[in-house]
Amino acid sequence: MSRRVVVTGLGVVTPLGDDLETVWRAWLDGTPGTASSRRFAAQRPPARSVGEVPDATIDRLRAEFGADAATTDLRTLFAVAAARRAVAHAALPAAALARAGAAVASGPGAHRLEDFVAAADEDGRVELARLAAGPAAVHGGSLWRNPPDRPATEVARRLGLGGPVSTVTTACAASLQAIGSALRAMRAGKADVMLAGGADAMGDPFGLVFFVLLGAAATEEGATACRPFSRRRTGMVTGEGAAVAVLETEEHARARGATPLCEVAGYGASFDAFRVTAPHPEGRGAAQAMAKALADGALDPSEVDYVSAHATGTKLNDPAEAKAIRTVFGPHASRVAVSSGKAAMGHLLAAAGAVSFASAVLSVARDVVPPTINLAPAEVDPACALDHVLGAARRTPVRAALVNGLAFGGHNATIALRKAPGGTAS
Amino acid sequence: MARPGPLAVAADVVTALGDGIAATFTALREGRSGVARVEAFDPTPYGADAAAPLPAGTVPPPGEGPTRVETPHGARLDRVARAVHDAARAGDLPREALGLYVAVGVVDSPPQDVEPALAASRGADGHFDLGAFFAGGFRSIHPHWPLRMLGNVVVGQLAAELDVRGDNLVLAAEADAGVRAFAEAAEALAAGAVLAALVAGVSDTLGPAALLRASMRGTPGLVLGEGAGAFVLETDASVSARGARPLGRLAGSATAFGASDAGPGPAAETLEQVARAALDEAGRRPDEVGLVVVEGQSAEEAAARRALFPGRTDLAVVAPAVALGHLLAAAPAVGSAVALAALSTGEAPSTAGGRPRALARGRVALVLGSGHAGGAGALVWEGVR
Repeated sequence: MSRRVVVTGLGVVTPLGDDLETVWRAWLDGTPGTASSRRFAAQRPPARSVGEVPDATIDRLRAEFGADAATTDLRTLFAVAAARRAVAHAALPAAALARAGAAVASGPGAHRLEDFVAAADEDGRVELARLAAGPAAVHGGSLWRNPPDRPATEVARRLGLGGPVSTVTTACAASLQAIGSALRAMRAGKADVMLAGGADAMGDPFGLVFFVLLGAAATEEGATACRPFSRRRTGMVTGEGAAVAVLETEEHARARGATPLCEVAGYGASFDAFRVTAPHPEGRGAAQAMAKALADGALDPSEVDYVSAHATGTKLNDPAEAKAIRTVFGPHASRVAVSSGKAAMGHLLAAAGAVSFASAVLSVARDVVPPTINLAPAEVDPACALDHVLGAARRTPVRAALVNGLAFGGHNATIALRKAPGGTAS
Repeated sequence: MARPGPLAVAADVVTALGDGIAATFTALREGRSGVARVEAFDPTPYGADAAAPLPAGTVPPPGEGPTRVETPHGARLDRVARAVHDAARAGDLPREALGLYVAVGVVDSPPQDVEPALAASRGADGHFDLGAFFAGGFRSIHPHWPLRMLGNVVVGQLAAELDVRGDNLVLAAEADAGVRAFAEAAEALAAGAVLAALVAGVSDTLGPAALLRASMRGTPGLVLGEGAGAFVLETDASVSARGARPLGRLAGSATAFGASDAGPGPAAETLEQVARAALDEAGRRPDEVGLVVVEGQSAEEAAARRALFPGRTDLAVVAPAVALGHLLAAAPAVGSAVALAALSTGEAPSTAGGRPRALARGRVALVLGSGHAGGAGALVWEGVR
């Protein structure tokens, strides 16, 4: 009998705030967190909308981070802040942290445009030796200073973790895979407590052209640019932030008197094995990941009341995911509430799954599902027909939920949640 | 009670000393080194003048296909992963039953992908102008640049080309991640998520960006290597059913975090802790270990070894990085391949300028891996009769 794993704490940093209850209220109220870039307003980036963490919040998080904040990238800053909030939410004692591990997703990162500009000659030719000669000029957010494992290792270092620590870099599926990896490690007896989640930040100049070059960025401006499942959808809107959950074995949580928010019941991952920039049109890999998570959690599809969809608002993702949901749930699909937070916050990329996970944990704990904003009933794409939660949050019993993360590269991940055995904290 | 770990049914490497395990192991036995002065570019600004690059032609150079994403790390991954996939007859497995677990080093942005955009984004004063970049200069970036930055994309591309549809993970970025990839595969196999797992590690690509990173992270002079290693691990039941010939067993694995106060990397206590945990999982004692594959980069690692094996004079210690350069995310896979070759031949190569020595006892090898920030990992391999 494998060990049960429960969620006892959550921490988030999002464009809607860095306090869990504030963000939760915003999700339920359908508050938009995306807009035209404030950071680069004067230069008019081609990504017309973005979910930025406010500068004032970033300043506060830098002060909270302490030493080395000036040479730390935003994803690391966000990861550490979210982890600290999750640990506080779980009221996890220091002794437990010393044995805890972490599985944190981050984007692989790209070098900063600012560094290439600094290293370029008049003809635009880049000579990196210029940076070696003056390393102080290298941008604080540079990949040279912040390799992809820095968010995870800074979480471990600053919180005093001594267990297994890993960095998952499977793009938009990464943080759900990090949670799944933590679940497996705990079931295998490698840790009793894990911090799991993800962080990402692509609000820099390269990030603001990244998805435009891939043809995946929304072409609308402002807060309504991202329209998951809509006939009017034009693409995704990037966001930045982090979410981290405290996962504990049920035994460990109960022994210290912690009341779980819910149980992490199952995990499934798959490859589309199709194209690296397009999902399988029938949602083959997504369906497989969901089916595996249900089987891993010994859940029947009829027990699931909510699916937190990946739903990026791109032309190809949304109908493929909708087909996958219908495939997995069959006739029950019409009774499963579906929503996505990407219209409200933007797509937090490597952090996206963890933020959706945090939202779904609260849905299971509190029996209320947040809506998909920017989607009117008449605008639902027939190819994406599901029981969408529209307009307002829906109060409904949520016995179990699935959280989907689907990535460039063809990685798919699903986490299954269900109410904690023996009672749930709200 | 120890659980039996998965069996390795195929393994392969590419290193500065050769294409394949036999070539690399023979060269190590003969005391050859792949470390040489860097000739491809001027390394002196970065505080390093030697490295161990892959010899030209070891893997096909990245091409410029219209749809395929070509990168140096992708080419190395392709070379070793396809070899073990074929050797293990993994194509015979149900496609959902094969998993893929890869540790990838840092993927650097090729400056040449971006240079045309810098040239196309000048303001009225002739200098770079961010508004001009956003207004259209960015369109001159190479169209594959975004996908090249995502280290997982070449893994997904490989999965598509081999039709691998099972469980998967991509980890970053150093040797602790390389160990973790094996541990993740073992845990997935034990959980029944897959029947077989293709595990790979791919190093950083040697170039100015990698040397600049080493110099900025306080490890100037680190001798970097270039390479990749891959294994196919499989459950006992699947091996029996398919009639595969095992090369060895991954009997234990462990990772933990605990930075050294004295410098980069994990503390001696952390390395000792993971080694003991991996041995415990394997149901083995330290005195059963005949071979240790170390990184050879820190006094902390040497202290951990002394604490684990006090008074042992018959322990064979191999540091492949001395001859292959430090392979970072690929180091545990390459080190594991060296360990299995040594267990198979009963002889450990010397990487300290001496002669090969016979393994004095046991058929158990310990492979250690570390990360710059303080991550540590250990793998325990058993030879098979």
